[in-house]
Amino acid sequence: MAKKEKCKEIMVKLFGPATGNLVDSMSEDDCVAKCKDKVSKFLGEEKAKVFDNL
Amino acid sequence: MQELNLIWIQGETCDGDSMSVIDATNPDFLTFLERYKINLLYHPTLSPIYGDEATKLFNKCLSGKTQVDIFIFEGAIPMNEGYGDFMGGKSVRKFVENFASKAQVTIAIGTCACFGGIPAAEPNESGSVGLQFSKREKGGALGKDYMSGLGFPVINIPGCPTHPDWVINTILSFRLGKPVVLDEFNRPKDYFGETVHRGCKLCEYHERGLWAKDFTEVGCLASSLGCKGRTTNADCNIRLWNGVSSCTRSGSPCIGCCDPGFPESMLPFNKETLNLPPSVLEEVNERKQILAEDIKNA
Amino acid sequence: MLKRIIDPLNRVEGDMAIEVSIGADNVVKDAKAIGYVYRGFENIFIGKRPFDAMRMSQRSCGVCPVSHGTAGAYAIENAIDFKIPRNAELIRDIVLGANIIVSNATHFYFMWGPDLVDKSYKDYELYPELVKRFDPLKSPHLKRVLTEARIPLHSVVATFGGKFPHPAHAIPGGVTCVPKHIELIKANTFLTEVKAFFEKEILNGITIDEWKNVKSVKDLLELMKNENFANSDIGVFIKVGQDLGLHKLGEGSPKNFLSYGFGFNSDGSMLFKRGLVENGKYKTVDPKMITEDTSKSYYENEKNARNPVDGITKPSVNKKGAYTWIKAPRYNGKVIEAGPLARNIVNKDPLIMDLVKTFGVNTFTRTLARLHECLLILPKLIEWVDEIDLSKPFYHPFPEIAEGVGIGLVEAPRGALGHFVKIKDEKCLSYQIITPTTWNCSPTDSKKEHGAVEQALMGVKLKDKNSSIELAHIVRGFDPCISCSIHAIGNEKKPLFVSRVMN
Repeated sequence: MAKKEKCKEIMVKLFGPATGNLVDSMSEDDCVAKCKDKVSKFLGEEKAKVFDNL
Repeated sequence: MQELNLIWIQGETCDGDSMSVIDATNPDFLTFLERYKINLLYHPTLSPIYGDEATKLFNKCLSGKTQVDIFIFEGAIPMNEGYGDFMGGKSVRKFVENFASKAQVTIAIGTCACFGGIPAAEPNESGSVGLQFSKREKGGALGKDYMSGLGFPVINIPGCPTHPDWVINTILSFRLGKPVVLDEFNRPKDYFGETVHRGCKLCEYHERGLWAKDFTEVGCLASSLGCKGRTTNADCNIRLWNGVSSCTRSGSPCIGCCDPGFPESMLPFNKETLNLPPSVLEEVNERKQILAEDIKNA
Repeated sequence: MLKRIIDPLNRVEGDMAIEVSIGADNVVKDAKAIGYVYRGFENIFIGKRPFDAMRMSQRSCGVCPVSHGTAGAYAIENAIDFKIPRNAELIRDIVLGANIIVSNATHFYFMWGPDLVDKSYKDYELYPELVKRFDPLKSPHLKRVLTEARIPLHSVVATFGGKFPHPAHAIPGGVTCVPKHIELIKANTFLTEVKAFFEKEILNGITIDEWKNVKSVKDLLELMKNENFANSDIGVFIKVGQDLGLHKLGEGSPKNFLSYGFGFNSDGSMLFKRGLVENGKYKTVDPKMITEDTSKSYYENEKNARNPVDGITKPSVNKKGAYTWIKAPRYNGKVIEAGPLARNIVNKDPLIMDLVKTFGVNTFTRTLARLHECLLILPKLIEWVDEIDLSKPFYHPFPEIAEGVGIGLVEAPRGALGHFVKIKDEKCLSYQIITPTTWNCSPTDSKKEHGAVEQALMGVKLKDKNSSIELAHIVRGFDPCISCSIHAIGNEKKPLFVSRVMN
């Protein structure tokens, strides 16, 4: 699965479909960093660890 | 967990949504802010800062020096020239556009901010609208394409007033990682997927077709007293208000205050309305029949 | 002349702005009270059924929706001289009384009090005491007021009215609810616990009965010798108020007071009497004497100021010389002050009368009257809950009214509130509202007389002409409710968010 798809799946689960759709506009290169940033800001470092192995 | 900056601004408002939200319980509003690291940058009734200091803060937010994570707006937005000048003579609309463009999450609380509410009722001299809706129509002050930093449209949490749980829990969704799913009017489905009718203590009378003909009579308020509970989306009777009651529990017909079309679409408040969905009457007769048969068979 | 605008002036209900001109001697020479944003409620009600208008009119204010709902119901009933059952009268007063206490307490602790932790007071010896009590959003004491007074009192409102804000109990003919014993017991226990909280944590161990025995300044000074009371919120306020000179602020207001009265006793008397004090003379209230002037308001000019029964609301956005959307109501042509202090003066409350005699009419006595009446109303609510008789009705069937004129006068937390409705063909021909803040924050009238808040600001000698704190004390001391004043305000076009000090 591409990083974008994985990111989208995570974002849908944590924030809902609206934030999931946001990933569509991101690139394969920057999606992990961008999503991780949002998750750690709102939900904390612990939850953001999910991106570490992507 | 990093601190989230919350800024709360009012337009054409009665202050009722603020008054409602600060009555939150478990946790109370002040504990909520502290426990979940919500930094209330500005609130019209609670903030110590005012005048020049408040102005400086707003400027910092707009220049990007201070981040706006959550932007809450309460009250309708007057669009007509000359009616909506406030805070430094700038129009409410401009103010709202500026803050919404910076926000990660934008939340409209109360029916006025969501859909226009009473200020937007005819003759609507001020040209009032909601943040992203004008009654049932998409658009409003921000336009139908507006999207916040987290990819959401304006999250609509209507009600006249709104319920503290709806607001606090929606914010908490963004703290605890629970997805927020919206319906066609951009309301969180969790609360507005229900109807006021569900959980009403008078449901049994409805089922039996026993209608109160006037106030304080025993019976369902739907027929003669025009209760709008069956067609209004909100979980008032499941959640209850102030921990103890609801409009219908206290004998007062629902006036549909959470509906996008409120108030016009709900008039007359206390009379039988002709636009009752036929499905409801069918449902009543159906239930009556089921009950009758059940009794016969017993 | 230094011209200063404080904008936004928040911690009033709805934001407002004030504009003052300060002379070289630091004295305020001119003042304008300005709120924002016109909603046009009254015109929305035209052509609507009176019941529907009443339900919507309540939504003009989320802080005092009880008084608006109640005034609306009384107005419609008044059109046919309809007498509601005693039970309905009781429930309306219990809910309104709870709203008055909450509103007063919220004002003192959350809106007015935080000004006392202003940095300019940081060298004052009692500053730590003030921080402990009023530090906004932080003081644990504030949290207790929220959870032990405000929230349970709102549960009492909801017990009878379904919810707060915008409870739905008051309807023409009575109230909607038919409580059971369990609800009366619940209301009683909520109120009893709130009373215990007031005695323990606001009066610091003094009982409300002991407080009721305080009938003069001499009694009050005697009570101040009690260490517990001296350290209570009210005791500290009394000391701080004098130390910081709050009794020298906001004295310039007209000495005319209006109260529509609150709280019907079973014998027909009222807990707070209806009346008017004009130039020191006590008079009965006659609504015919009320007129609304629009000289400086954004409404079309009228030859003669209208009585609200014949009132109209015709916006004129670019009217020259106007500076506010608030109309200027006058009684017998006079500027009026409304609010807890006015209510207590009209009621000839012995303690408040003696305080006014000693200290005058000012920010200090206004605030003390607000706290004092909470302690008078609270025990009364418990008595009223007890008086409800479940074997009697709560509502009498109310007819549709084809034609008539109705006036509903009640005391809102902030003072005299009137709803004026004219009915024709079962619809509202007109619906006018005069709120307490319209009385207090009214602009200059055709006789060039300033409104009460403006007059209170004028003549004040500021310690520092660049500090806003004294002005804020004065304005917030009136507890303005801008969202409530309906014909709230626009203003001149000004740049966005600049710190506006103009010479």
